[in-house]
Amino acid sequence: MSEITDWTLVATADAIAAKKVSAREVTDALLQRIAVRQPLLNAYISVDPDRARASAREADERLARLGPSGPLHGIPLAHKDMFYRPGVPVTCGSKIRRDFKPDILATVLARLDAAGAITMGALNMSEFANGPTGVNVHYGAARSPWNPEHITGGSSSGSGSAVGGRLAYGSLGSDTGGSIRLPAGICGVYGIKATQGRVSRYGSMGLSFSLDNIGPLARTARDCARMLGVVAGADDDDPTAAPVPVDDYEAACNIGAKGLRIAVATNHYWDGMDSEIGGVLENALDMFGKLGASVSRRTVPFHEELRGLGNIVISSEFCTLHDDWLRNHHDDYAPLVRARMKQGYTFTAVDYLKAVQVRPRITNAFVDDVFGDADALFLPVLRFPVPKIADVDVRDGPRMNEILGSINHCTWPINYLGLPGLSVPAGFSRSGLPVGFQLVGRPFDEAMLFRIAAAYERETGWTERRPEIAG
Amino acid sequence: MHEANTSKPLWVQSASASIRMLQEGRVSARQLTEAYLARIAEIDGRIHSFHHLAEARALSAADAADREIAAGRWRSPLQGIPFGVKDNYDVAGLPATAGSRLRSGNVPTRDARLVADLEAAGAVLLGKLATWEYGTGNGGEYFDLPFPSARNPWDTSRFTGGSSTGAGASVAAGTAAFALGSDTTGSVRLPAAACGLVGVILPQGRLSGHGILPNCYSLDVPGPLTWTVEDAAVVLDVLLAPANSYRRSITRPIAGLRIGVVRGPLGRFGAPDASVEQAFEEAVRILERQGARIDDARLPMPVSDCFDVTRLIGPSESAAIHEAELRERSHEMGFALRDKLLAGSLVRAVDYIHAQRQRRLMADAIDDLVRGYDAIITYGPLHVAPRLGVEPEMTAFTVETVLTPFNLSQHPAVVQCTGYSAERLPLSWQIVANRHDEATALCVAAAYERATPWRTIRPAL
Amino acid sequence: MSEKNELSDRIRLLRSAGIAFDDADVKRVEQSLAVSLAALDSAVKGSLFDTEPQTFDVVLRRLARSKADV
Repeated sequence: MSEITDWTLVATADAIAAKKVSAREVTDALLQRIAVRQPLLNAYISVDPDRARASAREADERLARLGPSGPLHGIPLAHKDMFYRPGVPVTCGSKIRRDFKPDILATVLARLDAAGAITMGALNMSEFANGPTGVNVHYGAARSPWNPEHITGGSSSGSGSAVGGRLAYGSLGSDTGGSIRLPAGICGVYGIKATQGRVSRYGSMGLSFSLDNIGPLARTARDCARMLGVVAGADDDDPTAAPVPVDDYEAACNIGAKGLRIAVATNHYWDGMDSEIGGVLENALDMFGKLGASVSRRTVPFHEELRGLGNIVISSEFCTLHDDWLRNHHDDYAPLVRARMKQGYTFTAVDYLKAVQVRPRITNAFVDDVFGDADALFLPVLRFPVPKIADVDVRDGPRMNEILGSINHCTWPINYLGLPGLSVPAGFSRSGLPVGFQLVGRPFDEAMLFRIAAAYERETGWTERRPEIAG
Repeated sequence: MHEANTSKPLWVQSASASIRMLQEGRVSARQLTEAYLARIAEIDGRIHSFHHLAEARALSAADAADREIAAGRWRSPLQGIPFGVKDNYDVAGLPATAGSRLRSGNVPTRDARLVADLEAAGAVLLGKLATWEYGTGNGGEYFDLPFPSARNPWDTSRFTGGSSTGAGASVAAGTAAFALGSDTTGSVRLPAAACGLVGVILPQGRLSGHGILPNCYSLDVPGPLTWTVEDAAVVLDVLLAPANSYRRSITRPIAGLRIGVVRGPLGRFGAPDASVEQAFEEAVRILERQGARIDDARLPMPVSDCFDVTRLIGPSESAAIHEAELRERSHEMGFALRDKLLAGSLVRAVDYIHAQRQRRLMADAIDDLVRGYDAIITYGPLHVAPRLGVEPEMTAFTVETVLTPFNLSQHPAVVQCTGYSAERLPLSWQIVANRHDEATALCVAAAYERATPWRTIRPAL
Repeated sequence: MSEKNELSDRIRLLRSAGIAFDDADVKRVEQSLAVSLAALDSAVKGSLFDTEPQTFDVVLRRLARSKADV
């Protein structure tokens, strides 16, 4: 029998709105579970039980008086510790920001507040969102709910761990090279990096302003769709938030995948594919056939360029943000973060400008080529079983580039293209760790991705398996 | 066709005066164009305002304008009015060399959007006007380009201001009734100032940059140079078709308008020339006498800081756009362009990005300043036109201005003549308005112009 | 300009940044630098000059599925 904390976000929201359960009950149940699981998973940097209970109480009062304030009424969420709320500490997973308290409210938090959501606390993350493993020297690594010796992926490490570990019904993360899609796929949940500009970034920590994205992780396609629907859309405070109408992502989950065309990238993204993982992904592709979708295999262009160009843009922008701290707080950075930053100093403005100015051309060519006769592109998340923390904690050692590059191999190129990418749970390896795939779409076609994912989820039910941990 | 009034040549009057004569049938488009062509023949050998003259094409356009007028068809108030465009604008069928050996033989097949718009409005294109190479430079003059440098009609031993050099020379000397230039960190407003003209820039996106050789994508804007504020208003009316015509807006009195007078801080640029400052203060008093509410104000940062930020952004972007030419053909470039592109090549990515972030902070702070007023007044250049090619005056003239803040902040800005120095060199100031309110800047400029005699004085060439 | 020269020029930029770094940094940086500079060479063919540059957000919106396609 499943407990409240195992319910989906949507089911819980429905139950709260129908007064079958109170927000207070849900929050209390979750706090109890957090007390047991947090020491095992280290998903949270800080939990705020008083605030959570107070918010839950307010939610119940408001429900009684006025009904639900929105589609997330009374739902406990927790977010990567990089979204600003006045007076609330935001560490960004760092020592340098350990005591930082902002004075502005992130637009995404304001929208979740307006939808009635509750915040449980701040989630672990790679320092300054920099790192695909989920290791953090200041706060400790976040741990996989499926096996705590294994990584969560990063940089939204706590988001993956908390959502997968049923310590929050959903979480906002960020993704600049894979930081939502990796922890989602590695922790067996959904995570969407939407189209560049789909979600406002006002009031959130920046890493690389040209490639940063904010998006939700959640346990089911519908849960994830609901959260994206709440936070997406134009914002006066963020001129990069596109004035494109927000689709009904939840409704898209009902349509079905019949007649859709899915292209599978056979080059680069499939290089060195572990045979077991490859087998799991092939099963997923067979399932698409059963759903009435057609699968085609093809090579896709530009993967080498995308890695290099993304590197120029991200490292130049990242080290500009941190230049001052790097001089004055050099030792307060994790060696890995420091090491990755130094790349940025080797680029000229002309390198950077070229990398930025060719982006529209490359994206144009990629979309014309790939999506001319496909509705979505299927990519792996990881090409090998989820590794152990000990095996990838390379710090700034000689294998840093190699190990990190192998982890974000399949996710990294998509950010430069600005296209939406959704991680979808696709099963488990023999070792009991999750396997996921990515669906990548045309700009602003997130609804298509949810449509395919939800149809797949209905057939396969991977999201119903729960991690076997205490609490 | 009536005889033209022969007491003074047609090129002496403003474009608006010519418009009135055309509309009253007192002159034909052909006569007008012939008058400008005659003026070009008379003096362009001394001021070099044109790189490429298109005489037959212009006369043919003038004749077409006359035929339409005879048939009662007026496309716009600019029908029949002769103009020039900086040689970094594309005109189908005419050379577009941008003042450079690298583009010799370049003949575009499509018009720049603004050229197409003006010709569709019936205006008569005379040709391509002189420009610094690629429409860019640092102030250095090396006399190493394929065209002779344009000369300031007020004193032909002096600099026109750049980079829209020919635009400044032509409108002042009467070799064109109005001109289009382009401005990245001052290249419309500086020649307007040096040549005693009106020069206008608007925020990016208002006037199309299509078909203009790019210099710096994040700063470039096109802009008109004209003899009077009314002329500028007419040109902008034709190009932008605003709901409220600028020509009507500029007749409004300025009594009650709140105007912030910004004299600094000038940072490391030092003080303006005495003549520039004196004219500025007298001009302020004129506005005051018309009932404007004058307040002292200050830029939120030293203007030299704004300049420094543009020096990181502009050359880098130019170097990225023109990297291939720099790598392969730098020996064919003039020194000024090569120098600038090399400087841009040395800028680090972190410095460029940092400069853009600084730019954003400065733009917000400048906008806060401007929002407190209906308009602000600043100096344009701090000095009068220097002798051509003589340093350090040339670079000082180009660098030491209050023009760059408004490129960074993207506010509409109008430079206009505030009188003449003892050596009869034009003096100027700059009027800046809120972002969608260029009409107010034009209105203030028009009120000032109406109260002064400067437009009755042309260079004694 | 040979690739080796380009790399060493860029390492010089790193040196001039005035921050601490060591040989391991140089090795690591050279590795990804090579990939980045190769990417630029491959991706940027010919001139980037367009008289009306298509900014990225404009292109993304243009590439979106038109409502008519759905």
